[in-house]
Amino acid sequence: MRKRAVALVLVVLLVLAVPVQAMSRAISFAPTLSFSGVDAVCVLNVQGESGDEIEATMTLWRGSTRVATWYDEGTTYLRMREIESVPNGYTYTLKVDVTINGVRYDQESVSKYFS
Amino acid sequence: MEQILRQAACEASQILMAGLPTEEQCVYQFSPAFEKKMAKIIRHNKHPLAYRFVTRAASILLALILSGTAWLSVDAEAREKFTSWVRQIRDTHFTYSFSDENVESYEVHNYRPTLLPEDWEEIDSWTDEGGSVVVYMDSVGKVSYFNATQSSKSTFSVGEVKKPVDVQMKIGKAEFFEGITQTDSSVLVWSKNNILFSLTAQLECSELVRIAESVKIVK
Repeated sequence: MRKRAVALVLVVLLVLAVPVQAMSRAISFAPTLSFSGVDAVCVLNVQGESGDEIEATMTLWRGSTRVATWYDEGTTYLRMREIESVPNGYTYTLKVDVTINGVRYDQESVSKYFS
Repeated sequence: MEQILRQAACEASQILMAGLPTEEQCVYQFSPAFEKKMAKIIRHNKHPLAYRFVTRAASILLALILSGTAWLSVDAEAREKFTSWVRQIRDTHFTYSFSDENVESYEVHNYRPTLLPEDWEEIDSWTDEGGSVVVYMDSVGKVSYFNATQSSKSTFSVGEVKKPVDVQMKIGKAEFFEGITQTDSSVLVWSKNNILFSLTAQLECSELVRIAESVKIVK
């Protein structure tokens, strides 16, 4: 009985591992937050391999207040550049969620003080 | 005559002295500032060597701080030793971020690799607030990327690769992330003058290094 259970667990693990292996591709993404005049400039570059399906969401936060959210999708690589007018004197955080071929990556963020 | 004058002066002195109040009658309260100053002088006199040592040590430290600050402000390479890109491990990827967010961003010039595989063709490129990106495509439709990322405003993440291996290039150290399978791209990451460079392509490490070493500012 125990041998059967171990074998079953191994089969399940193998089945789960196969699609992950099949989706393995080098990817990179780089969020950027900068300020120009009265604007916050939010940039995200996502780079996958040929034919990769990319989805990305950028969210700009001022403390715990959500200022703006943008969504875009593309194939192989994706370039987002959005501008939002914001008051100065606060620290802003740009959080990005990236999904490539259905695999969601850990959220990344970059924070800057707008003086 | 001189004798008479001396005697008169002596008598006058005694009369004046007699007119002064006695020590017990003189009750004077010194100011706290004066008391503090006197206590400091007494302490200095009790331990003259220790105070001389402390003064000299403070002077040397100040001189070192001032000269170090001046050196760092004019020498970009020295400054890079103290501020640099730091790699962190996430569950799904590796992320590079700059160690000091107060450092002003460095201008990303028009960097380009000058030695490329023959079948690579530049199909897209752009420069934005995050840095510059060049996209290449080879004869079978595989894409490759060259990135130059600015410090302090950006992070740069690499995923779906094996753990990095240190590589020594002619232009400095780099980290090589091998693709998980042979058909996946690998990534070479290095920094220079606080700019983070990366090259992503389906090539061997030695070939990526050869391309990385050819990166120059193109006008």
